[in-house]
Amino acid sequence: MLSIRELSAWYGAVEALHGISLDVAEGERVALVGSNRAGKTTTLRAISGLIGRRAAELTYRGVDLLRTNPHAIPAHGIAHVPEGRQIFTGMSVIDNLLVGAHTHKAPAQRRERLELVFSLFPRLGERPQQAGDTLSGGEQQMLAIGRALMAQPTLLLLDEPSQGLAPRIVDEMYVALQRVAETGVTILLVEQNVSLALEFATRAYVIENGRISLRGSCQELVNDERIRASYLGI
Amino acid sequence: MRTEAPWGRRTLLAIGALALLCVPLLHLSDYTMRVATMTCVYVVAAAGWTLIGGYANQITLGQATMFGIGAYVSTMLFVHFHVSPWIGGPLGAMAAALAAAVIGLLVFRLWGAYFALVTLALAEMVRILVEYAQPITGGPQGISVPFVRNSLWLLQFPEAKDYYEIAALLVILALALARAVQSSPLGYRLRAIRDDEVAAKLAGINVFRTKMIAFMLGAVLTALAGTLYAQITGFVDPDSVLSITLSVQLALYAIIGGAQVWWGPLAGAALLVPLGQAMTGSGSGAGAGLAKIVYGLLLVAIVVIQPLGIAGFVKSLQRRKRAAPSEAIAP
Repeated sequence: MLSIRELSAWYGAVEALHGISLDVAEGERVALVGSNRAGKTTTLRAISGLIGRRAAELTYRGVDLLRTNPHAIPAHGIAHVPEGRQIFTGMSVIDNLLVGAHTHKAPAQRRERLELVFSLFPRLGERPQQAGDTLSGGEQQMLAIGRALMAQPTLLLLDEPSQGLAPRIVDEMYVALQRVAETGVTILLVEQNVSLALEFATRAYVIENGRISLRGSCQELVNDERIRASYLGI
Repeated sequence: MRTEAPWGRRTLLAIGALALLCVPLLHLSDYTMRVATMTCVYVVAAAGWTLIGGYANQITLGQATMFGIGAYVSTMLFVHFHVSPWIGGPLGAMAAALAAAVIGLLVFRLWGAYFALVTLALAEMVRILVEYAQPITGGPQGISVPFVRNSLWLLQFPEAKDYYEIAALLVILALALARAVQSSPLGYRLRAIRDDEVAAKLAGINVFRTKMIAFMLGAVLTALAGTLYAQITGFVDPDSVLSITLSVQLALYAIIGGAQVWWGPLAGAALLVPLGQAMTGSGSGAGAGLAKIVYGLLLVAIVVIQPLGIAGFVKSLQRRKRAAPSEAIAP
């Protein structure tokens, strides 16, 4: 499980996270919601070691992530799908996916993962040789998630997967994510679309100005007056 | 997948390599052969740049350091200790790889313009150091390689053109390595870094180590070219083997040829080295300045019209050819 105690993070001299604590248990689906610039993306980046951070505890399955090199973190089962579908635009769909699997030496294992990704996202399976930059926004997002899944992660960090996508594509993607979760992959989801996130996850944290302001089961939060007023617009 | 018979492509490459080795059979003029030999040297040097500058888009402007180390190490060993360049060259290449490791340690955290500027500054520092170390390096005046005798073991021949076969062999070796890297897992990692360094890191790629391996491999190639240069010209000085101009030239050859493919340095150097030579040779010295202006204009043209260089033009031609039938039907 992922456990975070008193995590702070900086962008240069600016402290962006002020000691947040959160836990994600094995197989759980947890959402981290909040407004723009509240610190959602920063939290994921801090977990992956992409920015300077400090914490009383930052461990995953007993591995101290504070002492792990960023590039070595995927090998511990954590896959991070960054915001804005950062795929390798100069590469074909299949090459993008193979880069995601580069930690696996066995070709059979790679083939198995490819089949899984193509079954989750048939659109990718239809165009394996297409260049990354000619894909639609939704396909790029699917490719970014697919690439993360190639590494056979046990924990998936998803940053704004619905951003800038048509509602129909968002639905399609969340159906796939549902299936990913059902295979036992733990998911920590960051979403600006709060109602979507609360629907997908079982538990959620609300982050405001770099602090956790509220936590609970999604059912409780959906019915919480403050959430309804500030985030759901009801 | 493109369904090209792989043996067909391989045969083509073998024929190309053979043709390169058979150029002397054409009985071209001595002058042409000298230019061809020098072109080969710069193809190899630029191929060394491509591994890091092209494949990973880490635009280093200090590749002359590697060329200079190759040239100076083998020459100093030869002059002071009578060591054959066949041994001095590889030693120079090892020294260049070591220098690359140190420079890489300093610069790989930087990106874009910062990276380019710091590599340029470090290369200048090396040049200045060599100028000050006059007792061993000959300082700003350089060192000449004394001609002992016509000997393959000493890598000494009476004429520049006599080096052609060795230079051509080195080209084949360098491009074979560049091609192997391009399609290897290392090549994948470098492309991933070129496209998006953060995403590469998140995919579990050790970005630092990947860059380092490419930089050190490239340093070896460029240094070997430096050794050969020193043997051919019989003279090494900071201006010709450690200058900013050389660093920029090597990057230009690769970029104009197409920095993302293994044969880019070949296309770029084969176009620009003879062109520079022709312009320097004409117009009583004014041509030398003109050559730089033309380089500059070419670079601007490439960046504006086709950032992928000659390789990019070839690719778009191929695409057009494939698309041609449908265009013929269209009104």
